[in-house]
Amino acid sequence: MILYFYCVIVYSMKEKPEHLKQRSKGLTIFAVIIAAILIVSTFYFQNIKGSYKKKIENTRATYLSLSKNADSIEETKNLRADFYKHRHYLDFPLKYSYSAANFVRKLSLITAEAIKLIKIEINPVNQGLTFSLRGQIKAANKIEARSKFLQYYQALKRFEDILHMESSKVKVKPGEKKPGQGDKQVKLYFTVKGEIETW
Amino acid sequence: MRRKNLFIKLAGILSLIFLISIYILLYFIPTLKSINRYKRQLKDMNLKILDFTRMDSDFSFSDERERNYFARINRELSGKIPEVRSKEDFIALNTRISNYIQKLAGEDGILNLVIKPDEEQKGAPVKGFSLRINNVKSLTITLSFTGKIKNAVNFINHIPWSDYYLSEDRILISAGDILPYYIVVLKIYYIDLQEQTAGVVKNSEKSRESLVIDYNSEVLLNRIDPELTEPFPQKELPPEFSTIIFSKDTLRKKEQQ
Repeated sequence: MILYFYCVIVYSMKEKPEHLKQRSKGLTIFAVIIAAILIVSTFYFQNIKGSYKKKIENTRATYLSLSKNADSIEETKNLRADFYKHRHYLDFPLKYSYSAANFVRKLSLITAEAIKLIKIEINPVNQGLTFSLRGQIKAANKIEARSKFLQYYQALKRFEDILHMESSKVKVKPGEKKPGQGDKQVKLYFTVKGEIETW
Repeated sequence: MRRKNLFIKLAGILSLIFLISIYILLYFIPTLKSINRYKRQLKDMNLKILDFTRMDSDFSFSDERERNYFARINRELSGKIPEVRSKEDFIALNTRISNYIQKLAGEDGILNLVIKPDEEQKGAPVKGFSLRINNVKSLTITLSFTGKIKNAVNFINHIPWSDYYLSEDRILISAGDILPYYIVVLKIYYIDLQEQTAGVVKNSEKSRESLVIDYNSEVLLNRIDPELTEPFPQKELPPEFSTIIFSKDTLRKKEQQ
């Protein structure tokens, strides 16, 4: 870089006609400005770098003094985490079985005569359980079937431990007409899935 | 002469551009990169310092009582998980648990109980228990039975009340011919001392692996609340039941009468 600017200056000082001298003067000024910018920016960046290095050194000293306690804190935290984990492992089977059994018991209380459950599936998840109910509702017509299903769904929603719930595959199919019976009945098939929090 | 001057000027400009690019490539960009790196380092350190300061001021170190809790919970858990040293131990464990389940089923009025052990009779490694209890495995058995809804749910509730670490998994209830039909998948936990499989644990249970612990939680900064050390009580279900849930139409009518 220095060599380059030296060449530029030497070249500009050489014996030349007047119009060329003028031009090389312009080139020299340009080169000097560029050189000045580069030199200033180099100093500027070096200065920034240096200040950051200094700050890091100061911060590291504080960090090291504070981190002396960190190992023992981390160990205690791990022991506490293990404690909560083990408490969860010990309690979860009891919580899960109680919640699942109680859920089926509560279902038995809200299931009216016209509603027949075909299948219940319960599975454990980390802090609770998921359930899937498949059932069938008999009614005189579609409207009655849907209203019975809605009543049943609302009753399910009132279970305080249900976190969320959704119904799917709700289908109404015409039932078979049996001899001796009046109007043809319809059957509504439903699936309700949801999650329960164990207490 | 003119051409020569033009050539020299062009060479000067090109070499200036070249020099500036060299400057940018070799000095400017690396310097900017290192300044950014320093900035990040400083920010990270400051955050850690903030964390440490917060932890130092909020953290309560363990006292004698908390250390007792740690020891008690480990004893409680390892006391429930039996050690299996040989095939005979394994068979004995299976027999003891089968006897326990059959006795419980009898007490709860369960009918047609079938205990179906895992076909391979080989436990799957369980990850998640702390390192103090190694080589924990779980053996899956399937219970199928029938019975009145009240008896069945009481039985389901009572199964984990054992001295062993028994954990119910999937529970299936479906409408049977006369009474509902139940399937309960049960997991028996034991410490396998037959083969030491320290290191990589394959086929671990998903539910335990996915138990997420937030090590930055403020809960871990405080001593354990004595209330949280109490085990979940063995609760009986409330006595209100209805029997019509799964019954077939004929049985429903009979029950209504």
